[in-house]
Amino acid sequence: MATLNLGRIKPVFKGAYSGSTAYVIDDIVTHGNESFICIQAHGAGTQATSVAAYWTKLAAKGTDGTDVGTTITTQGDVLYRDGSGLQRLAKPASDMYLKNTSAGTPSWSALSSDWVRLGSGTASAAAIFSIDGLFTADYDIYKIFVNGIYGSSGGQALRYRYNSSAGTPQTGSNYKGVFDGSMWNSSSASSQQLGGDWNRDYFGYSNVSATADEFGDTEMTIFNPFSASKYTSSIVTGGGWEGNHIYTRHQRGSYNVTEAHTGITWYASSGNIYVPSCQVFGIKNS
Amino acid sequence: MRKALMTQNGVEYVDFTPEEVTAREAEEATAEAEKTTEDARVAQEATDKTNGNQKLLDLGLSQAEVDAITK
Repeated sequence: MATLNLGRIKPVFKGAYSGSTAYVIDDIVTHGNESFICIQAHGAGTQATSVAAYWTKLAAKGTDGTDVGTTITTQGDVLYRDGSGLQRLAKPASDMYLKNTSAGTPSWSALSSDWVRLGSGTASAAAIFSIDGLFTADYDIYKIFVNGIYGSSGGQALRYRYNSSAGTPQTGSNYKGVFDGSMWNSSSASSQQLGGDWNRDYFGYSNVSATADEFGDTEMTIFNPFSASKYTSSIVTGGGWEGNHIYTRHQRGSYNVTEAHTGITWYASSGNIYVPSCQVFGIKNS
Repeated sequence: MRKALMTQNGVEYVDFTPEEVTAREAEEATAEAEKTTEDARVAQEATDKTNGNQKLLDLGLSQAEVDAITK
């Protein structure tokens, strides 16, 4: 029977190119992360894959990638690029937020705010309630919210003083203040009140109810309490409801001695006071 | 008697010293006296208001006219 030579009917993969191997047409080799097919038979070591008369590239390699696993190595690492290449930003030692500059330099940073809560707490059945040690040179202005203050007996005046040292209210006769207020009762009757303090040993600005569910709230802005060269002054808004009437108070006070104060003390003119919530915030100096 | 002292560490209660108790009791007594005086003043003011209103009515003014000039 006659034999018909059809030649190769499919390419033959020959593995990595070797200069010591002879190749024939349709041999396929790999070299330099690319693949080539032989288009002209040649002897061993005579034609490298770069010689276009003998080899045609089947598949070109892409651009070399980067093994980021050698840059970021630890849980929490963040990968970023600087002016020269990929860099690692290791995780922070404590909970922080990622900050980036306009120049593109990332770093970890604590969340910053111009309002900083300096303290909070509650108190019950105390003759006086004092906040202290929260006024510092970091802040000139403070906001204090006293939520739901009430007393052991109703109809008492709510007063405050500045502290000259930890928890010790200043009782010098240096308090100058003025307040006004208004009341509206269940009979739709109203009254207004105007009062003040001149060289007294406390500020008065509101009353306290005797029950917890009759709220008495206060918002205070305190200026320069920690300054030894400026008067400590205050703007206070307060009020609440008691029995058959609701009332409001506004007070402006100044302590006309240049001395540093470390805190504030509240008290009722008689009996104990209860403070369900007090929060103190500092507003950062510029 | 005790004070509630709130710092960065929270709230702690501290008993008054004997001197603080004495000072507090004296202040409460003063405040009570002031409150009695103030309550009497407010009561007198209310009485004066009622009497004044009545005198104006006695002069022949209507209550609306009295209200118009007094409120």
